[in-house]
Amino acid sequence: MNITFRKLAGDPSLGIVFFWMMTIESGSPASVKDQFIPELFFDYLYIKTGTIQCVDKVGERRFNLPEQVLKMLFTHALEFTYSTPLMLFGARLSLRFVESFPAEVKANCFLNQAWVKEEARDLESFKRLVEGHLRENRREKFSYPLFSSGLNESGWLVNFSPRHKRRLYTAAFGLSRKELQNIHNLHAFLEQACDFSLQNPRIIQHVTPDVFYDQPHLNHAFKKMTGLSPVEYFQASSILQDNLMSASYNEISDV
Amino acid sequence: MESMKFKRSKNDIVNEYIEKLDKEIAPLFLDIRGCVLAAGPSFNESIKWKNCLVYGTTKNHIQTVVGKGKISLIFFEGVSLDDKYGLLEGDGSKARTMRITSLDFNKKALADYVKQSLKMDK
Repeated sequence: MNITFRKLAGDPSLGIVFFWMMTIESGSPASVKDQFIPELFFDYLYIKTGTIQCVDKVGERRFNLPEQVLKMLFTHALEFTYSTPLMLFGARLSLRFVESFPAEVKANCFLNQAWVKEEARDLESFKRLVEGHLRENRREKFSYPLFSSGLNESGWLVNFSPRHKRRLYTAAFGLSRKELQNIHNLHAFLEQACDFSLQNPRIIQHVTPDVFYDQPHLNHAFKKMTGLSPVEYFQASSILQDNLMSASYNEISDV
Repeated sequence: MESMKFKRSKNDIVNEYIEKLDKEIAPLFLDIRGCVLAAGPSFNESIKWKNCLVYGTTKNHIQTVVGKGKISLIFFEGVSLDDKYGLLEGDGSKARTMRITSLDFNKKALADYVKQSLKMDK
């Protein structure tokens, strides 16, 4: 099985973190399973060749993704099954992107979209088509961004009532701030748990008292969101998301 | 700045990761990578959580962790490997680690572990 992954810089002013292309080739047609855990990114997917079946165990759904689709924020894990040969283009989109996305935003779903209106031959042409579409169709929903940095609330929200803010967050992202924070906590753990530079990997050493009181608390929260224990997750393969996650971490730390 | 010469990966993120490696550890890292890919040409490389290079097929087999002056190779199914060379450490239920600190590491042993890992792919 031959897997390639290419990446191109995005346009932060449009909320695009980066563009990517993944191909999977095998000698004969095959199915490849992949895990997808919750992340604080939206992903636009354009399936040029092959199919992707999505299994949503929590929603008890199994369906094939359409050719072009926007993956919204999820609070639980998904399982993808790719048929090979697969050629998949994508754009990783930040929370900022959705604040100018004209359609209604819901969580735990995929939105049928058609941003690529002519054939994308390569990653460069996919990038050009997606950027063109987003430039033409963006509409700011709020006067200012909801977050100043990370998940830190912007100053202009300070005098709003908690109820008003809840409604703003849900309208903007499809999730409450607490649900966004839970996903953030999961990734904060993953990021620090994998900083092996000074010591051996021992998950217990990476439990953050501010977020998870102890290892059982971490295990419970982790399993609830990913369906796996931390150790199972570290050993499991997730072809697409591994690449997307590491590229996202690097993009963010490079800023 | 002079760029490092190495066999480019099919994965852009792996190339970026290698280019950012510390100059002191990079030669050892590239030597190990060359040895792993020569013994397991069907491996795909990816970066997990920005710090670990992972060699896998449809599942992960080996994780490379870069430390200060050493590189650890974690074999996820290490407990099932026939350790003829006695270089695998660890007492976990599945994984075993091979620590490498210098360029004169046992390449024959590493190639043997890699080939055994790939055989378990079926």
